[in-house]
Amino acid sequence: MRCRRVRSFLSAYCRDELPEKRQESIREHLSRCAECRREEAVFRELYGSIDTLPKPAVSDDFNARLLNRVARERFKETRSKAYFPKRAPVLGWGRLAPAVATACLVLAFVFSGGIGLIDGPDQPAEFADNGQPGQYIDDRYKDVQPEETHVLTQHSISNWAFQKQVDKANRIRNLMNQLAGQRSFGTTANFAGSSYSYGNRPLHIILPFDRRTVNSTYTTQGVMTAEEAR
Amino acid sequence: MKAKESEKQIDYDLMERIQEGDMVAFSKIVDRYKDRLMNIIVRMLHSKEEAEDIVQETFCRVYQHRGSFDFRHCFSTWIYTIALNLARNELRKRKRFKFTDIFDMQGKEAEIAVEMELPSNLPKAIDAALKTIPEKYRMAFVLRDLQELPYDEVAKIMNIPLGTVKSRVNRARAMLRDKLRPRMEEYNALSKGTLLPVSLL
Repeated sequence: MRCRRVRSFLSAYCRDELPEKRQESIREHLSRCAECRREEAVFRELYGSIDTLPKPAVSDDFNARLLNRVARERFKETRSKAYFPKRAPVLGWGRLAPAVATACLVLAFVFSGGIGLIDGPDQPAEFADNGQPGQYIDDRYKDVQPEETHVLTQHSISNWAFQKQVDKANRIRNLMNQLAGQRSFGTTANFAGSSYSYGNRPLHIILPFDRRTVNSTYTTQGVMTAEEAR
Repeated sequence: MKAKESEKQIDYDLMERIQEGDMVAFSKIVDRYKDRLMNIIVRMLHSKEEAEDIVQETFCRVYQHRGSFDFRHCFSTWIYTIALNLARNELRKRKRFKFTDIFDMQGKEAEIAVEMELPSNLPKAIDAALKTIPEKYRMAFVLRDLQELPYDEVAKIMNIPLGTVKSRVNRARAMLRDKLRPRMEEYNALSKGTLLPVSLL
């Protein structure tokens, strides 16, 4: 074996990491090569020193700090979803914000003198400017008079719909009276071309069989006969 | 080998108890692994405070993900992987932000140089030399030679093929040897009672 090849194996040889056959051949080479023996000595010295290297140790409170941290981890684990449902009903900002905003508005109203506005000013208005009591600043209300153009409507428009119904009933009554005079009572009357036509289509009115209703008057109290109306 | 198997079995038993919520078992696991993890992470980050934070974070992750531990795999592989991934993330952050320590300036360099010159302080010289090795070689070296983990476990932790692990470890040893050779030859010479360099002998 040549020196160069032996030296490539020397570090492993010093650690007994090579197969027995190769260990033997290197051992044989070293027995007759001083240079390689010197190289071997360097490696052996290196390994001897490695064993004496200072071994750094952790600080004294390492275990305490670590176990504290692990305890925090354990606490976190108990707060995980395994213990709590995913959608836990919590009072979040979504629900809290309107309540807080309302409270803020109420407080702002109270502290900005809102209550004073409701109760009215503590000091009368006459003291506001000149500070002389008994003299009103604004007495224009004395000059306010009713306008001449202002007409109060006694009959409001609310009766308009009822009045329309009454007018219609009167028209029908008049028509019935006319028909009763012609003895065509109880039949269908054809008023095509008359004022009761609706466009080109004739208006058919089915007349009631009770004569009493023909002469009746529609009032707010109900239907009354002509005699009653009289 | 039997000792290794019994170690694995102890880990499995403790892990089963941790999964049932036993904090005493968790405390035992912490005591078993905190110094080993610290030993690796300090070598990776070169800062004891940051390394302690990473180790604490590692145990927290172990606790958080205790339910997902696969009993077909080795517990030590699992915990080392978590710790080294966190350390890698930290190193990546450092690269991104490029923190400059004022002690890394001239004074510190001079201090390291002085340490390298002192024959009585070889372990510190090795520590200083380790800092100069690239991260991937350093990680393989630390896991294999400082933690004395088997190659296959290192391969699983680093998530690289077995051959790559062997080559990286070999490379790291060679780098260290090259950096420390003058120091160690001098040390050898002194320990043998001569002040002459080895090369002149």
